[in-house]
Amino acid sequence: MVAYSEPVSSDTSFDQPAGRRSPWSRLMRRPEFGAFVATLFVYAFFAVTAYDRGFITLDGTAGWMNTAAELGIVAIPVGVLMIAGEFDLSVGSVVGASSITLAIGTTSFGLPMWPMIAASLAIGLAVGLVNGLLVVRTGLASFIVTLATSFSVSGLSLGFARLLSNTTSVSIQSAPVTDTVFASTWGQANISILWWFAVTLLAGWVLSRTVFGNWIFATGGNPTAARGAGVPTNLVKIVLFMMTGLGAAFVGVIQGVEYHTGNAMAGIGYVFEAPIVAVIGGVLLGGGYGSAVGVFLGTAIFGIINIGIFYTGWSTDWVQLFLGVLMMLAVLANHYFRRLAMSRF
Amino acid sequence: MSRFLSPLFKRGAFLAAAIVATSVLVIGAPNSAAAQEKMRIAELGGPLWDPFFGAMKKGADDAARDLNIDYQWITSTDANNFAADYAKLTKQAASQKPAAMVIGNYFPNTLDSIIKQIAASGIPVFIQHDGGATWKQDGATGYIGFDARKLGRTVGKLETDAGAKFGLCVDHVPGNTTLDLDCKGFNDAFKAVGGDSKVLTIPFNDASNQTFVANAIKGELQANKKIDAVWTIGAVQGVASVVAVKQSGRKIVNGSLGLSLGSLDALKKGDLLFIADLQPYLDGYYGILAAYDYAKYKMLPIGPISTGPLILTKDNVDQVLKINKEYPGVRGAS
Repeated sequence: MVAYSEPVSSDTSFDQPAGRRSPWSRLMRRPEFGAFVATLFVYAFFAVTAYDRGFITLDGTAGWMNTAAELGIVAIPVGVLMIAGEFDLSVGSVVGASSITLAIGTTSFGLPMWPMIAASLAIGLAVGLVNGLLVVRTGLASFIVTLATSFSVSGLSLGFARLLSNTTSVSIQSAPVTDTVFASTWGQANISILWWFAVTLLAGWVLSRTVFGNWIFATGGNPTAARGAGVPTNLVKIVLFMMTGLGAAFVGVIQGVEYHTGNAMAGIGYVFEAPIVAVIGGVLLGGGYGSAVGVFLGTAIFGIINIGIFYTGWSTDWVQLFLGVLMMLAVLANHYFRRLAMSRF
Repeated sequence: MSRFLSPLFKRGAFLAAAIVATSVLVIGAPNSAAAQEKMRIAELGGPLWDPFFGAMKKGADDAARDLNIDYQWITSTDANNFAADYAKLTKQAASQKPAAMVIGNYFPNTLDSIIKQIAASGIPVFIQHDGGATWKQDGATGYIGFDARKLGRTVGKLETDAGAKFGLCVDHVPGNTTLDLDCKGFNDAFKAVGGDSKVLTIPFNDASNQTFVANAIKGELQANKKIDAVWTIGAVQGVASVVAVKQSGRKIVNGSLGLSLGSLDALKKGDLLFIADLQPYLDGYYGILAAYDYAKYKMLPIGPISTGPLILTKDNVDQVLKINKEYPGVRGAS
């Protein structure tokens, strides 16, 4: 996130051409502006085509937001990691691993809920640590490294699930406190929406207001220069890999508690959806540029399109074509505004 | 140089050890020397991330143990290229000349010609679970499974009998011919009472994301007020459909297919009217048994062995729940 409200004074901004821009012009140069315009566009599209079918009602809004929220909790840490120049394809497998761990621990072995939730989250952190160490020690592309861990984690989940419980999908009993934390609802809106906001705020704060945030941009923007300036780029990457693991494990717990089932293969769709929404949200695939609010908007766009299409009542055979075209438009809008942001005038 | 090499070497050694350990774990058992004299049956089965196929494998495992044969459940682990991988694995398995093969024909367009070749080469082939429409043309020796269109008709009739006029068939594997036929049969039943039905396809990638499936169904229910019945063709989707129907606030006849504790619970509470149980364990068990009997004694059942659907309702759900607790994984998810 770019610093929010720099005071503009015509006297002191003599050597800062950017400072003389109008607020509107500065707004347009923020990394999430393209995503913002795209969000308005797709929302307006479905508000018009499906207004009489409940898309803009409270329940309809809860529908796309619930879907976007869980993806967002996975995708925002992935977006931040991408800003630091790395990729994580293991998030999908971690969602499954975390949910099946929780299920087997609590149901098959009768262990208490909270320690098992801690264990499930720890699995996410551990996978992230392994990813981070492998990437910084070997210098291999994180795309390949995390793909390998993704397969390994999926294999371990399936293998152990079958070994310990004879199946790959195990039920989770509900418990009052954990239900409140992970699966409360207001009307039809899930608590995951609040977690989604919280993760966005936290990531936005880290990126824009902390030294660590500067390190993230430096690590992704120009790693050699960053190391020269004393930025511990390896530490930055390892921490961020652990955060993507944590985010994914958290969603595994949410989905497990929400639907009372742990499934070793849950979350498989997130593998590519997470980086896709990060890119839609204005994160540069090569790293060094992007914002948390942008990824938040990217997940919102994804939720609106994916769920909105069902509200139109059109044949869902066409969903993916439609998704492809809208996505292309969103990315083009991004590209246009980023070029604007990078330009000096 | 050595400082540079040694950690690499260590890593390499560790990796090699891990690979050896894993492969011993995975393929060690069927490769043991004693197994050489046993009859060898190759089984081409569905992906094990789906608990449905987990139950089928349990059946095949049990049959192989009871008959003391050498068998392996061959499948692909990559969802993105499953059909092509599965076809290659089928050819590979045939090239090892097993005494018989049991093949789940999940992709008739791709597999029919391969199965024809295998059958023509003299290996007896038994088609399992899926592929009931083409098993005879393919030259297979037997078929163990269900009739997809008839299944759709059966469940559709259950819903129209409950007063439904417009059904929604939720297809979470778009492009799969069996699910297409399921939904066609479902449509037959609604047409028969002067109603109609439509198909809702869920992108394959999101099929196991219950939040996604629930909101997709909810959206469709909002958009189409005529819908008064839903049928999901999987347990994961079934649980999601219960959420969607509740949130729609409408009175909708809801049925599913395949078992999980969550869906059985919904059945018990009356949120689901029925669950069609295809009894995958029986597909697995009888598939191996039929192949064994034919390979050894040249005896075979006359006509296909029909293993499903068994219709579960409120009346018989308790005994299923009991079995599920006692023998987890035999009937699907636990």
